[in-house]
Amino acid sequence: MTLIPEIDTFACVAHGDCAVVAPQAFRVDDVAVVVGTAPDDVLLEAARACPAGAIVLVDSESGEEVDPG
Amino acid sequence: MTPGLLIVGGGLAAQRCCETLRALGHDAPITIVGPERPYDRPPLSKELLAAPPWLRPLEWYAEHDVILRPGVAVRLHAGRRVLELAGGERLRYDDLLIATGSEPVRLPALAGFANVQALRTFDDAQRLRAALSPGARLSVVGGGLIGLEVASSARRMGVEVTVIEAAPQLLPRLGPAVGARLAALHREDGVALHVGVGLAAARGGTAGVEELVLADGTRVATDHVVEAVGVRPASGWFAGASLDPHVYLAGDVTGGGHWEAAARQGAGVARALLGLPPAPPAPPSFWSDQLGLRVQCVGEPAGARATIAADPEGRGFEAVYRREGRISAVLLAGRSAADLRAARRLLTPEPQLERSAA
Repeated sequence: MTLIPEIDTFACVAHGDCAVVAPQAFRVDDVAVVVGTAPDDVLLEAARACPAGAIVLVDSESGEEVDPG
Repeated sequence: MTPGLLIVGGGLAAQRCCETLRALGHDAPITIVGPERPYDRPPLSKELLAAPPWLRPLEWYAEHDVILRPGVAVRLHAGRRVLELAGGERLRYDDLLIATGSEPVRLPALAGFANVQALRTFDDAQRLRAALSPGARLSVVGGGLIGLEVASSARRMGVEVTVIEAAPQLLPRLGPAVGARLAALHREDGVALHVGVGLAAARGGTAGVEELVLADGTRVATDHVVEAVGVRPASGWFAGASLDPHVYLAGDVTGGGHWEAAARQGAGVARALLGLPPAPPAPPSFWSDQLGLRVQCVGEPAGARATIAADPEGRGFEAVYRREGRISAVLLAGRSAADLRAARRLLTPEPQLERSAA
């Protein structure tokens, strides 16, 4: 499985936790932006860390959103 | 050169004001005066930290031309646009943002004991961490979000935890059903929970409190005490100053107390300084980590009636709050990010349509 990260900018309030967990994938200014990619386990950890639930991870094969748990 | 914007009290609201100003192209001087560089407070009660959770690396301030100036404000001379610091130094400003945050309420019954602390700063968090060892007996006075997070973190470290809440339920703003659910989960987690019982007295010696006595006569032997009975705005230092249109307030000093409100207010001051309209309204929200659950609330739960749906197994649950026939808030515990985003959309006000004056 390869995950593609997206930011729901409606939900994002720039907590910044994603950029701490996965700086290679996220940068945070007034909202978070995707700047790269990271291994799936790191992306899942970043999505779990987000207090706003604003990180959407999409399975590149199925196109479905993956619940980070 | 003009003195520009002076921000007193470096926390989230200060940081977010700077970020929004610079992102919108504002290039006048900005100075933050505070005891330290801005750091994030929510992790203090949730994690074991080796260093303060800085909001931005030190280089950020140089790159964005924001001056960090250590200092503590003691007086405001608003008419002359002068801020006076401890030690007597005076700083001029064109505009002032007061973002001095809040300070913990302390109980007279616990004053003067060496093993009693609040939890507001990184130093407080370090002190608490040093006191928590397996088998230690921790008493938490106050069953709010901070108190419950501390209790839950301490349980995970093998600490014996007692929580004392004087109100008839935990987290009164969230209503009796959610309060009872969280109480049951914390009891299952091994917390000795006393709800609806106040602290009557503390007994001990020079080394500190040895025993707390509750209003119903219960005695709780203890090694360390955390006071988590709420905060009040850190506004005493400018009491009596006449505020004018060059003075702005944002963050906990306004009487708020949640992360997102402070972030939005800091950004809102930046927009006001630039003469921009306010950002679209957003529902209030907060989150908490406890019992291995992420608890998230969007909307205004106070005064609304909650309906709870709990997982048959496990700790997760959700509560929908209704008031006057509408959903006023949703609280999710251990639910998915997609559920939270849906709740936020549900509770975000529709933009008002422009009405023509005709």
